[in-house]
Amino acid sequence: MTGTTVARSQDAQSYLDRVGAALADLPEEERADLLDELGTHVDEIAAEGASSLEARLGSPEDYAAELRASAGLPPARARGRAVVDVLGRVQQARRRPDVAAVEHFLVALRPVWWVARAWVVVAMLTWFAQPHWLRSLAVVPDLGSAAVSVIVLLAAFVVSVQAGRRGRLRTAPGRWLVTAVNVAAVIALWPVLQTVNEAVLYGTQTYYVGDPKPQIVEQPPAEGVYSGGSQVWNVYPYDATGRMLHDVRLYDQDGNPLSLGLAFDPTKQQTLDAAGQKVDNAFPYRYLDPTTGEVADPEAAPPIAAPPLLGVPAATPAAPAATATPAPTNGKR
Amino acid sequence: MDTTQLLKGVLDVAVLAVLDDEDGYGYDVVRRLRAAGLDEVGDASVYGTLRRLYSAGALTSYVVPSDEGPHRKYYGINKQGKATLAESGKTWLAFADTMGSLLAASTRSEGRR
Repeated sequence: MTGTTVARSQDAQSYLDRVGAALADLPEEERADLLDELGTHVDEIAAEGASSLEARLGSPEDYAAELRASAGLPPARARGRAVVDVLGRVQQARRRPDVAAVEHFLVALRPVWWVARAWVVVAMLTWFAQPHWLRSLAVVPDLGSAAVSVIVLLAAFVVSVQAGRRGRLRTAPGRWLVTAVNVAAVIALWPVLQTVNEAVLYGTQTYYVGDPKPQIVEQPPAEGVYSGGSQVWNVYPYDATGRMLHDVRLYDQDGNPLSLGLAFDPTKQQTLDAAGQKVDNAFPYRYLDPTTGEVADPEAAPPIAAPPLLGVPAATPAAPAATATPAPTNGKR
Repeated sequence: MDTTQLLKGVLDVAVLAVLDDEDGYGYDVVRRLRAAGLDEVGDASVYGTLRRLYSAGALTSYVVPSDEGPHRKYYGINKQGKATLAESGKTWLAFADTMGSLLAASTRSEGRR
């Protein structure tokens, strides 16, 4: 509808909107032309008398039907009264300034959609062209080579934007095609975004086909002591009779104190030796109650029962003393 | 008999006849048809007829700026329109003649009964 709205009365506008709604199936150009001409006419009639246009001209739907019949236009497609009514209401709502503002904003965004739908379509085609076991989508859908991908994507942008700028197509098959593409793009938009987002977050997987040499990456040695693949947080020594020992100092094969390499923990009991050095290899580690500052449970141990060892003489006081001093020959740490 | 039924058949000729007199825009044509006695003419029909005759190539159309309001689309008859008018006019007059004598005969026989 073009801008011949020179102080059109509300009655006239709503009448025109409803006639327009009843003509909604006509090509946009023809419809706009009809309504434009009708607009001046309706304005004139509205200015002539005080009674409503509907009272003088009959219902807008009948008016539209009469117009169609005499102009030799195809009769309205079998549309229920309800549909025509809703279309009329939509037309009227579009007159409201707030609705019109939103509509104008969306119309301004149309080029964004033209670009987006081209991207979605290229992404979809790429996706389905890929073998199913290594499907992935990048922001620029990968069509083999980077140059081809970029060219195809740009070509799709041009086609889509040009199609958008040409507006409503005249031929029915063309209109169906555009509608089908739009619907497909709307449905696919979210999945495509998700897939691309995943690829951006986690990286596209690269497959080395026919490269027999695996890449060996040196891992930095992990801190701490591991047993069976999981980190050791504490060590509980038991003697031959099955009694738990306290403050047993352990050393490795080089005579270095065996530390579990744990991060600093203020609740861990700090042990010092006679030389005033911190001792981190006295096991089991004990933890303090934060409120009292005392060791919370000196007898804490894993739920095990260690039966006495066979063929080992009962521990003599000399034996632990011997192990406690393994004479670190070179280990100064 | 309802004149609207009759009008359907002759609206083309009526519109062409009005425009043959003088060019006019849609509502102007409606008014002139009504002034001539065709009170029942619906303005949607006149609009549709103008449009159809124009598409068929029987009319010319031009836009005239107007001081009081929006521009008006004027229609005028062209050569093809005049030919159509002459042709249809002849057909109509012959038809009216036939109808006239038919109806005159029936009133006469009614009078004899």
